[in-house]
Amino acid sequence: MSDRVWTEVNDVRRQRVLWISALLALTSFLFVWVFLAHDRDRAVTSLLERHELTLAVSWEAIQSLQRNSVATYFEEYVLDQRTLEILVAAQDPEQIDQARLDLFRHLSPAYERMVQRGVFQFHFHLPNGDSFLRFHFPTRFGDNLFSIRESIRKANTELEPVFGFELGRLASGLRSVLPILDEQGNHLGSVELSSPFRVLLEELDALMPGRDFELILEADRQREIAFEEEEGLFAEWPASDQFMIEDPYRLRSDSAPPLRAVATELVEQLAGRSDVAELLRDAELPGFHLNLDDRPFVVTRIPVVDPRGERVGFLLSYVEEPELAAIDQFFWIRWILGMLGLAAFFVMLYLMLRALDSRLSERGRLKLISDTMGQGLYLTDAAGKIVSMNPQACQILGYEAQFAAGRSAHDLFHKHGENGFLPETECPMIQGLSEGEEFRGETQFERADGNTIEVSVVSRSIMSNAGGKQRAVGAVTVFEDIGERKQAEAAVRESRQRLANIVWGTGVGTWEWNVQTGETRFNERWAEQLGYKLEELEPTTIATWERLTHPEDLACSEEALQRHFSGETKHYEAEVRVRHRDGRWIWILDRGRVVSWSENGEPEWIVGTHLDITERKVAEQQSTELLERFRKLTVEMPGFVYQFKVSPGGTSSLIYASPGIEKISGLRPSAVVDDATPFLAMWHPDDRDRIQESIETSAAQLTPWSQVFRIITPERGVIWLEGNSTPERLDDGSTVWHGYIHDVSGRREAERLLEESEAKYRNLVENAPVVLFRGEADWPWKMQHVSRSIHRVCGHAPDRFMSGDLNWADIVVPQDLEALRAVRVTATTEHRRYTAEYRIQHLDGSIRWVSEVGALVRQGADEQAVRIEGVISDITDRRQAEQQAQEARLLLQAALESSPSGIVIANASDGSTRFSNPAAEALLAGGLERVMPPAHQEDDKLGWRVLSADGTPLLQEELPLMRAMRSGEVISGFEVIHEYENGDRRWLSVSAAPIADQSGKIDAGIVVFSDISEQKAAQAELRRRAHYDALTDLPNRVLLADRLEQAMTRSRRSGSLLAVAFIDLDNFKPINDEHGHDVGDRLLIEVSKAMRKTLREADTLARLGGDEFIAVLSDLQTVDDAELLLERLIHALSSPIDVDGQTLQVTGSIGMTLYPQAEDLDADQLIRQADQAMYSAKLQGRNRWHFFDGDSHPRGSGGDLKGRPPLQ
Amino acid sequence: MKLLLAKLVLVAILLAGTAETLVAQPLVYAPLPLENLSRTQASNQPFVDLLAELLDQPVEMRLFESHEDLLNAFGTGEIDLVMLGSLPLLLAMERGLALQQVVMFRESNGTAAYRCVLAAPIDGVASLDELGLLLESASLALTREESTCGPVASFSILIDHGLSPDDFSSSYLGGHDDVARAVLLQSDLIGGLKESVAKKWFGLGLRVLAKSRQVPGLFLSARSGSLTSGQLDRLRAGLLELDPSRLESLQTGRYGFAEIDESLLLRVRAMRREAQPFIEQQLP
Repeated sequence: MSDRVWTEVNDVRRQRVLWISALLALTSFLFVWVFLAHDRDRAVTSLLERHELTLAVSWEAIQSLQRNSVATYFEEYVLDQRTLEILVAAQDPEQIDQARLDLFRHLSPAYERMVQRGVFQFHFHLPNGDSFLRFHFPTRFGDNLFSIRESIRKANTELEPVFGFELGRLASGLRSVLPILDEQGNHLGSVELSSPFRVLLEELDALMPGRDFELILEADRQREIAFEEEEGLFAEWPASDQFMIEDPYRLRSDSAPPLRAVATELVEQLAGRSDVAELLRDAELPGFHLNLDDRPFVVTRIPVVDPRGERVGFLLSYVEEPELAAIDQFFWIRWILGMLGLAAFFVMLYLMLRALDSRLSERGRLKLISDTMGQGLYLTDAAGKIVSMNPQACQILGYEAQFAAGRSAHDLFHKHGENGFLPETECPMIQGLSEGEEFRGETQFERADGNTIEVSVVSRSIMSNAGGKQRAVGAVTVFEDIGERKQAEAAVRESRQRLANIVWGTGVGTWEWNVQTGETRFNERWAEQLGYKLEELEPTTIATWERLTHPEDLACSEEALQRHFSGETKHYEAEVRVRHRDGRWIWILDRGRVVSWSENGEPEWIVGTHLDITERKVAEQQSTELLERFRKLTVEMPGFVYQFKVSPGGTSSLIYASPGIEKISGLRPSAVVDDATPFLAMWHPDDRDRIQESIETSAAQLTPWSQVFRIITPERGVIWLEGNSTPERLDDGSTVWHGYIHDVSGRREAERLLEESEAKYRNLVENAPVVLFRGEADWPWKMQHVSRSIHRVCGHAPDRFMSGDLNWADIVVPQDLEALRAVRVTATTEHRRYTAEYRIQHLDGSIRWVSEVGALVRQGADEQAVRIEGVISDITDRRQAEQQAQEARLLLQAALESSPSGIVIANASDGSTRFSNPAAEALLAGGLERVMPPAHQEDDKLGWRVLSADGTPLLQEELPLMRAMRSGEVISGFEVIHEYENGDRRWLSVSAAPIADQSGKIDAGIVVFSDISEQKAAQAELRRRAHYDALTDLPNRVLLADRLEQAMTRSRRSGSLLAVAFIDLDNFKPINDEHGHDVGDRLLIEVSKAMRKTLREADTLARLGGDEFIAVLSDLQTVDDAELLLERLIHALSSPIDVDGQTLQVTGSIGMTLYPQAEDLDADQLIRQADQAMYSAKLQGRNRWHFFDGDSHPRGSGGDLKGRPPLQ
Repeated sequence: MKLLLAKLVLVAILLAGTAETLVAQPLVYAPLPLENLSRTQASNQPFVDLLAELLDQPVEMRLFESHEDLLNAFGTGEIDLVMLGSLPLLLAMERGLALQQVVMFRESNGTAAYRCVLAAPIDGVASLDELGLLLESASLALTREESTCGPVASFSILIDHGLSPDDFSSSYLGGHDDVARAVLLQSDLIGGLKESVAKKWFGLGLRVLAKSRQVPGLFLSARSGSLTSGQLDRLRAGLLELDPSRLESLQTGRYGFAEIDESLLLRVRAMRREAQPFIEQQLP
């Protein structure tokens, strides 16, 4: 073993010592840590428990305090005589509303006092749990509380007071619910006096100063009962959505103040813990300790339970606790000291372990070598006695080391040859060792079980230099069992001999060739294959081979060799022709493989065999020629030849398919050979079962298979094939069909067309809508043949007529019989075709119209028999349609005649009237000869003319009827003015459409027109009302907006000024009140007229409503122009006005603004400015105008306006 | 080198200044002044967030304890968007404050208008006609002067019914609920309050004697020039077309928004014109 290995072994040992030391150290550290941490946790838990106990005691004390206060209020206010009287009345549904109001009035002062003392909720309930009156929310009552407020249910059912903290719809609180009983003991309901958490908080602050308290409520419980419309009174607790806090936004006045910032941060820190809800609910946990900016805090909580004993939330307390820091500090000091001590101890321990390990390592090293080596080893002393044996020696020899110790190795197991024993003096190994020489050789050892084994031994003396003289003090002997190796060598020899015998037996020639030297060795068999004896060819070299081999094949052989040498192929293989002694070429299969390589990677020895394959090659050649002839034959065939195989397992394959399959199916032969699935998949679904069945039958009975079937190909679609084959059963149970399939689509198509044609003809005759007949010409017209369709026409089967059971004349309606007979007689007499339409009676009783077309024919050899042949068709539908059309014509005529709209149909050629109804004549005042003038005549020849909506005459080509007839246009609702000769006008709504003849050419037109004059007048009036004030006839707000927009646009375009004046009448209301609305209205009319007169034509005066007007003064050059108009308006307004003989006088206040201004304003803003200015004018004393100034520097007719008075 | 360094520092300072001015300044929104500032803030915060989203600009809320303070701040340009009742809006217009109306807030009845009523307890006066007999002891509880349902609407109802506000001793109590409570407790003979609040107290015995004509609800107005026309259009369109699901997340504005109806505003002005002489005379 090298030094490097020993170094690694030592490193491993040192690391092991180190790891053991470290593990011990770590375990000790952990133990100390656990111990100290447990101690610290115990101290912290004790501290938290102290906090928890303090909080619980305080909470209990506060509740008790509140309970006492509530009892006082209850006695003072609730058990008051008046209160009880009201509550008695409340039991009566008739009086309950009044009682509620009375109670509200009676106890409201008391409630105010209670609020000042912290009782915010004062709530009366009826005995059935309905809320009677909430003083803290008096508009909500009537809701039943039994299901959500256990305290109220308990107080009213058990008639005992209930105290406790409870959730509520609006707020939670410390509830005191007391049953109310009057002096007679009648139950009148209950009352609740509750203090919100804020009040309790104040008490807690007094008892436990310096802390922050927070109430968190179980979210599920609170959400269940809260009023929906009061959302916002509760919110999720920031640290967990399983709890809620009350009134986070302090919407209620009685809510607790928000947490201080430090407590809020603690809550945020709690929010970082996912298990905070579980921790809070863990009853074993007294609280938490948290650090905030290196300051320790204690978070304690106690559960808040309701009167049912169920937890509804927690009361949390947050307080800074310096003692926690002290506990922590103490823990760390103890930890550091402990660690230092342990560290020193374990460093010393490590050093000791290393020293001890070092001493043990040398001895261990030798033992390790001995124990791990693969050979047997034993040590002997100077006397040849065994000192020690390694485990491998024990295993090989079968002796225990202890047994062998002290015995002579020579005597115990060393054997020599057949006799097995030699004296030590003759043992070469002992003799050599005694002389200090090394013994190396193979010998025999005897195992403990008596078996002898072959061993290879190396033995060397251990020399000592004691006393200055070299002497052997012992020996080391290493041996190895070589029995197996010896046996393997013998087996190889035997195997070689056996192989040589086999090769000889196969008749294969062998060869060996040294590629590097060219040396070759052939066996006797090789030479015999060529017709020689080996000695006749010797000396054999590679040239011998090259000389005998066909030159064309040498190249192939060389190529195959190179591929093998390069590693491309595992073997060398070539088929070559070699000249036989008799001059013919024989085929040799030449195979070989490189068996050794030179040091530089070149092939050295290659060995191989030569096999005569001449017979096989000849057979192959014949087979190839045969196949080629077959292939050429099948290519020319219209179908394809195939071999189809079905194995016993049911799998099928096309063993062979000639190229013709591609022409038929588009599949290459290679695509279906071995797996016929692509071809089978093309079978038509309708034929598949049939083909499958026929194949199975053929296979079972070994009868020829013949089928015509369809396949579906991607290119040709469905094609018909005909297949014929003969089955053959193979030894393995498979069946192979040898057959031929060819395309018969053309034949099938011809057959199909023929069938179709026949069917069509048959169908035509049998199902024709007409009846073909042949019958006697004489009465009563017995039928000899009628087609089947007679059944549809008359309901009778054709057999009835042909059997003579029924004659044709039997079903002809009697009224038509004579006429038909006359026609037939005439036709028979005159030998000509005839046509008749008459009625028959159907079997179902209905009357049908038929048309009969017939002709006389003669039959028989002498052509004496006279028959009538012809066609009878059902024309009932046609006759009915004609009748309906006639009725429709009459109806239409009546409708047109009575239509209130004028209707005229005119010829397209000259405009002459083809039809006109009375309404048209009335509307067009008789001028109906033509509805449009000929092209060369003027319009006025008609006596009237047509104007467009704007009053301009319409040209001839613009007339709706002309447009319809000339361009085919359909015009609807075209409004025109019809002007009569006397100048009268009417509004007409005109619709026109072209009328085409059968060839599609427009030959006429129809025009429909109605008088819409009244409608137009009504529309005009509506428009007016929409834009003008009904009273004053001035533009209203709508039209004003439009005019103002236009004026603003003009102003922007022209650069001229625009003024908007807001006019409000002063003192109009007193006049209206004094003289009545009629006078007021007249006054407004007169004032409007007066104002209108002062303004220019282009100005707009509009009434907004009441006594408010707007004047839009446009196209002003200067502000002075506007002021002039304002003065005129003020003057016109203040002028006395005579109304119904009374002289009335009003004044006006006007606010004005100008446009454009520095800012981009819209019309509304302008009016608003004018309005504001008007209001200022009012404030300044009325009867004046006031200019709105964007810079708030008003100026106006008042002269001394400084602005508006301050708002009050 | 020193010169180069100095130049770089100067450029950095200038660029920093430019960047700061590029950051959008927050707009200031002032809700209706109410007594409970916490509640006002809480109920308006979702609306403020909505404004910021629609305007694409930060919006801050500023609370005022009175309309007077609010209008003063508006006048000095400290407020950009304001929620105002119709009467304070008229006052603002009379002050000449440049306002642009954005939208109106719909009431719980779905319209942007409501009515004011005069109410009395069920066991009190049955109609305004009876008041003529009780005028000597007639007291009228009112909310606040700047409340539309305060003296303006209440006096207007009285005048419409042929009664003179001069015949009543009026007092301001603050909120609509305070008025209802005072009337029910018979501290006052009748009270003027919003119709929806009166309905809420119906169960306890409050009865409506007379109603005003419809008056406009609350307005959202912008200080002229504080918003661009694009922002104004976007805000108006955004509020009017607000998705119902988004409305549910609001408290202020939860019933939706409506187009400005100035005719309602003119009506309040007319009512105020009628009531103003009595207000000045009776209520200092």
